[in-house]
Amino acid sequence: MIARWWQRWVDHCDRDVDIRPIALLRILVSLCVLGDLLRVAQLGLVDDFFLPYKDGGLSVIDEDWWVLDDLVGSDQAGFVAYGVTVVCALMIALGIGVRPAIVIGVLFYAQLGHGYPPGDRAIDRVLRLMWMFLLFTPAHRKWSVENLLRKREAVETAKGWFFDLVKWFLIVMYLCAGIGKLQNNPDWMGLRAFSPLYRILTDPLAANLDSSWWYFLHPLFRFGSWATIIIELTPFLMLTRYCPHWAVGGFLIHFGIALTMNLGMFSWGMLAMYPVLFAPWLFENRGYALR
Amino acid sequence: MLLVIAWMVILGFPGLDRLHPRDYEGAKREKLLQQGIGGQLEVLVGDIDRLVRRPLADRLEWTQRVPRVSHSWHLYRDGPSKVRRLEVWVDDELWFRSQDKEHDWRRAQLTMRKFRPMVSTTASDPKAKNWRGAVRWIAREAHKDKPELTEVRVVGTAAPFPDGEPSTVKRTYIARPPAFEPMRTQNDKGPSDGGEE
Repeated sequence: MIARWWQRWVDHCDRDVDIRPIALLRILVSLCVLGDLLRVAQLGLVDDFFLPYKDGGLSVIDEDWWVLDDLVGSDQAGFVAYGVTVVCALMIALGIGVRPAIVIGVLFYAQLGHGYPPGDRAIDRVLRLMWMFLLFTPAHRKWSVENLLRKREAVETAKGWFFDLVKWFLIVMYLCAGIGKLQNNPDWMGLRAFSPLYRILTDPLAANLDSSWWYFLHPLFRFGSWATIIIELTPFLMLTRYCPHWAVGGFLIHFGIALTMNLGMFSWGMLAMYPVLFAPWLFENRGYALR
Repeated sequence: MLLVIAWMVILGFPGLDRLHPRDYEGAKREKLLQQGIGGQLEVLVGDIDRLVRRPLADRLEWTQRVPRVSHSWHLYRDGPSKVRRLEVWVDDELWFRSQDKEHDWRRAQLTMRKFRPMVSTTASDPKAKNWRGAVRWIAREAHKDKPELTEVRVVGTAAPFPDGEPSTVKRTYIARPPAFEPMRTQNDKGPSDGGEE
C-alpha cells in the first residue's frame, strides 16, 4: 500500500512537462533582478545602499551574516556583492554557466541583503528562492546562449516537480498574506468607509493615488479588499485545473499594484513566476497540474 | 521535493507566526479549554506549534539565514490609519513632500523601492533607526544642490483620511553642515502608524 502510494508520488514528480514555462521563468526572474540592480546604479545609489553607515552609507543595521566585509573590507564589500550579483543575473538570463551562476548569485545577492537589510524586501527573497529551485532543473538548456555557443540541442522537457514546488511556495505565500491580513484587521472583509485597500493604495509613502481625489470610488476599494482576501485565501486552486483561472485574479492584483504603488520590481517579480501558472493556456497542456 | 515541502511547512506555516506560546499556558489555557470545541482546537494548534513546529523551526533557522529567504509573507497586512507624508525643508523652503508633484526634489531616489522603507519608517515609525541614514543622505544631497545651506529639516506628518488635511507634525529631524549628523527633535514616542510590505 505505502509502496504503491510512494511509486505514484515518484511517478508524479518525475512526469515530463514542457520546459518552456520554466525557461521563461528563469529569464524573467533574472531580468527582474538585473533591471532592479541597474536601476539602483542609474539613480546613483549603489554606494549609499551598500556601504555601512560609518562609511557614509544609509543603514545602521549590522547583521551577523554580512560576512563579505570581513573578507574584502567594508568599503569594498557592497560593490563586490553588487557587481557579482549583476553579472550572475545576466548570465542566468542569457543561459551562460547557469548553475554556477545561480550558486554564486544566490550567495552574493543574499550578501547584498545582509549588507543593506532595509532594502532587502519580500520580493528579493522570493526571487532568490526561485533561483535556488531552478538550480535543480534543466532550465538552462532551453532559450540559452550556451546552447548556441556549444552547438548543442535544446532540451524540450523537464520533470514536473518544479511546477508543483513553485505552486506550493506560492500557496504558502498567498495564504500567509491572506491569513495575516484577516488576523491583523477583519475590516478586510468589512464595510468600513476607509477600507484597508483604499488606505494602502492612497498611502503617500508607498503609493501614487491621491486619498482625497479617489475617495469617491471607495465602494470599489471595498470590493477590491474583499477580492484581495478571496484570491489570497484560495491559492490551493493552483493545484487543480482551475490554476490559470485563479492566476487571472493574481495577475490583476499584481498589475494593479504595479500601476498604483511605488514597489519597483515587486509586481514584475511576482508575475515572473506566472508562466508556470498560465502554462496550460500559454503552452501545450502536458502534466502541469496534480492529477 | 518532500523535504523542501516539509521545510516550508515547518518554517512558514501560514498563520502560526502570530501565535504566542504564552497564550496557551496557565489561566489563558484553562479559559480557552472551557470555550468548547473552538477553544480546544486553538489550544491543540498552539500546542503543536509550541512543542513540535517551533523547536524544529529553531533548528532549521540557519538554512534561511545564509540565502536570506526568511520572511513573514504578510505583504501589507493593513494600510496606515492616517495619511502620512515626509517633507524635506531646506532653510525653511519646502523641497520635497510625498505625493506632491510641485515639490519633488530627488523623488526618483526617495520613492525607489529599496529607499522607500527608509523614508517610510523615518516618517512614521519611531522605533526604527533608519532615520539616521535617511536624514543624513537627504542633507548631504541637499548640500550638493545648495552648498550654502544652513539647515535641513526632515518632517514626518500625519493627517486624517480622506482629505489629508489638517496635517500634524509627528516627528522632526534636523541636520546641519558640515557633518550633517542628524538629530531628532520632537514627538518621537508615538506609536508606529502604518502597514508595511
